[in-house]
Amino acid sequence: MLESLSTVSPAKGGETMPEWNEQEFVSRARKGDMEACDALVRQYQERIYATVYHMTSNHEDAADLAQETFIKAFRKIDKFKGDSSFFTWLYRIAVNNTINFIRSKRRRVILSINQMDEEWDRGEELLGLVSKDTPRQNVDRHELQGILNAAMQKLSSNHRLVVTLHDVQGLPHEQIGEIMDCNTNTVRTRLHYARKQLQAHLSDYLKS
Amino acid sequence: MDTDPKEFDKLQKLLASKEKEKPEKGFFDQFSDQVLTRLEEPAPKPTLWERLNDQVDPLRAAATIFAAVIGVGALFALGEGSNMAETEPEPLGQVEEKPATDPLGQRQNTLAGSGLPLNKSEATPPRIFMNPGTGAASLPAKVDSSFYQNKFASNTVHTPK
Repeated sequence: MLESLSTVSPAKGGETMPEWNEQEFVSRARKGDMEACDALVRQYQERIYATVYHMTSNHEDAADLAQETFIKAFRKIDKFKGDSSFFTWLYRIAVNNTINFIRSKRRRVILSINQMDEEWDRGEELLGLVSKDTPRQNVDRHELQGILNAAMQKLSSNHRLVVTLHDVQGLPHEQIGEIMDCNTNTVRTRLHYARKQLQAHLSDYLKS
Repeated sequence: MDTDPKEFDKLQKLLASKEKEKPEKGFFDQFSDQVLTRLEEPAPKPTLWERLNDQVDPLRAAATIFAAVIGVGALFALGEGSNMAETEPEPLGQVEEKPATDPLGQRQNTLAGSGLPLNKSEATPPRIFMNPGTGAASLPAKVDSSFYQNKFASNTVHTPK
């Protein structure tokens, strides 16, 4: 059903690949088409969840906030004017929602960290990044994840956001600027200070 | 604080490794259904703040509030200014000073010990007429109507009777 909505375009090598047609899904979702809503959720759920998760370092909060993001987006989809992509608009909702949430529960941060992806779960690779002169040499992979997440939580919400969007998710500065409603120089400056702070928090573990 | 490039590189790799943190298997299979189920529930009534946020452009609201504050400030300043102008100023060195208590055996306005009235000339501050001439309305001049009738009399030749 969803394939019938997408435009089929010839891909390299002669194969036909369905092309994601965001505008069409958005216009159908605007009319209340639940299948289009479902397609949009499935398309962006992982990225939205990941952004919120890296901001909160808590799986339960991230799941709830990610759901809220989509619900808010569909309820206010009439206000989406198409100045930016639907994805950027969705990201903005997620980011604002998450920042408000973090502000409301500033003093009670509870980490609930997800497991590493099984396919990548090579603890040694991660632990190889840690200095041999760490305060505790027998730091394990899960503990290291916790240390990194705790360091992230010490950053301000804006600094945490740029690190999440750029260093974890790999978004370009321009798109981050659009999401955060600021120019790319501000994004670069925030990223610079955020990394410096992270380095300071993790200096014992990163020393070469 | 100079950043050690090796440390920086390690930090980048550590941060990149965060992307591998994934929720339990099957989480995203249920996710969309959960969103759509919640979407079909009636939307909670928006709070007053949310309604205001939706209907009022924050930039315009801020501009209106700013203009109102400036307007009220200007009105207040005008009122204060006119009050100051209308108040008669105390002449220098003649500020009324009242002793806390009368000196023993000395009624006020009497010469000490004599009981004779003290010739205290109370200086009156100069009156300032803010609108000179007010109350002295000019009256219309009374002119005999014959004055106008005989205005060409100088051109007539008077013959002696």
